[in-house]
Amino acid sequence: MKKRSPVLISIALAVGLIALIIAASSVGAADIGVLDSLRILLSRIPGIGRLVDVSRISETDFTIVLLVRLPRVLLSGLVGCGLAMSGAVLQGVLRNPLADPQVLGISSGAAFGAAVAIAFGLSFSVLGIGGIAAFAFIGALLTILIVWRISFHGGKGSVVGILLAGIAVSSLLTSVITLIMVMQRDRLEMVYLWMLGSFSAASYLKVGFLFIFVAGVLLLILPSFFSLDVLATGDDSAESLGIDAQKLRRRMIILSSLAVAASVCVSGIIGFVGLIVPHIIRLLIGSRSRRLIPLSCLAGAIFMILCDTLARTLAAPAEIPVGAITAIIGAPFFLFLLWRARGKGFGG
Amino acid sequence: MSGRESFAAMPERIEVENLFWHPDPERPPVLNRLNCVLEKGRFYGIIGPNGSGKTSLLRHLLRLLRVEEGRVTVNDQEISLYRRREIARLFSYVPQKIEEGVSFSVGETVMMGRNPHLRLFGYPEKEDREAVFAAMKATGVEELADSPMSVLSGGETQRVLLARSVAQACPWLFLDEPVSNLDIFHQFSVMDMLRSLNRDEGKTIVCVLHDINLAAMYCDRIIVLEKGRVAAHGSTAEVMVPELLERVYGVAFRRVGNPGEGPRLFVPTPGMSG
Repeated sequence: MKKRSPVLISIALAVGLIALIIAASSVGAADIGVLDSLRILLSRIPGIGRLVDVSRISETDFTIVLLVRLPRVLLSGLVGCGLAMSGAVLQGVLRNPLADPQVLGISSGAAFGAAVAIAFGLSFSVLGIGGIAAFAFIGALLTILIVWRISFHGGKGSVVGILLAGIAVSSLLTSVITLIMVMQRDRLEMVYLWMLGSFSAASYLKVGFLFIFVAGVLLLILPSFFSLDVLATGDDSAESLGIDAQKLRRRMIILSSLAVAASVCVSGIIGFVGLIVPHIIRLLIGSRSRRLIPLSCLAGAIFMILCDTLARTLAAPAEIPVGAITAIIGAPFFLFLLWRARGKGFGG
Repeated sequence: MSGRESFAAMPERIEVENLFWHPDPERPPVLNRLNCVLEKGRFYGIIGPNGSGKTSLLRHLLRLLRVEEGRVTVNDQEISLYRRREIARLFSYVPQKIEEGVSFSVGETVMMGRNPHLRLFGYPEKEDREAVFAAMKATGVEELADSPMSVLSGGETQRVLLARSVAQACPWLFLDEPVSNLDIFHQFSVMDMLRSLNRDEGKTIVCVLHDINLAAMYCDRIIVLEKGRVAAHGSTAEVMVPELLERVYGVAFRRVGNPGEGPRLFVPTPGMSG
């Protein structure tokens, strides 16, 4: 497929993201126009705020847009960003187009942590992060640690090894979660709903928490963009070009796991984003990390905000699990792109 | 930093002492107490049958494999004391192939050769782009610059990897069967290029070759490996004799051409193997 201009795509995605944040903030049960929500958002930006006339807008509308919808939109955007970024990094360092946060067991680890917290009724809250989220976060990190230790014991190991270990640990944890659900039937629905993923409990605290992780991880990955490209050509090839392949891979897996763990613990498991968003960007602009990772972040945010907005509006007042929407929209679109790029190979 | 930089001085010689590598206990050692010395400025050909340890030796010389038993020293310093980035500025490597799970364009791949020279953030500068362009021109792949690696033929891939190595601008080049996928024209053009890198730019070439006649034509030093050891090492005229080749390869050879009249070539004689 012919590569589009990366500059144009970046601008389009950035503008699209901002427009989508505004539009998504005006969609919902209460009827608030796009212009009004734009005014409400602008009124809170220092400097511009004083120039915006908001005298006609009711206090309730302010509350709905700023305290209910905006944190949810921002949180879903950050989760999409974190998952897509991690997917892009993991596909590169594991040199496997199927690698995504779920394959390494990170998501199952988080679900396991959450299930344990729910089953034992741990509903404490530290700094706005609930017991369930805290357990999910710890579960995710412990899982990736175990997967890493098993597959790279003593500095030896293979990329296939870590994928297989991830899949095995993942299935094991999923079975244990099922057991927990069966043994604690009264809490079955709660565990199940958590695993389906949702942004309904969004808050600025969660937004802040996740922002620190996603932005921090992105900043720490930034200096390695070129090395990541070189690593994708093989360990021998990368090492002969001056890169410590194993060290770089470990650092990247730890960093992207942190971003995924932080995302999953505030939202539950949302599949498909970490897998398909980076691939879509690859098909559009190629595989160089310098372009792929930032654009995957933008596209992941857009995709997730879009899916969550649909999730909360399509069957209103009920909510559709956002994970179902990501797959329903994502899978056919991805298949379409694959069909168009058939025979060219991934990213070719 | 200056201490580090002076440490990575121009390698005058690489010494391999009793190098032993036995990764699979069920099979014989891949490298079995191997000894050899490589000196700056030469054009080495490493030959030997399949499984004689050619690629494994190369990977030890480049520190891609850790020395488990024996020693590999560069300028009398253990190779493990060099940082990877230092080695990558001294020794470049043309592997037989690279991974293609994630596909880059030819230009992007050649630019990766500049990795050991890039500063923090790995942003290529004018000098790097010029080196990449020159390397692609020299290897005749400049017209492929925007093609994805995944659509190249085997021969084109080998030339791109050679271009990457030229862009890496190291005093020593290590090549693992760089011409095995090339047609006869491109075999000669790559070997001619290596010869000119050796003669005109003073680069040291260490090249694993399958074709003993190419080795006879281009290399000034030949290392013959057999079952993980050096069976013979010396000037091409000394080493390349039918008796030795017959013993190592298990195939009868007839030598053609006369001494002093260009390279003397070897014709394998069918039906006389074993």
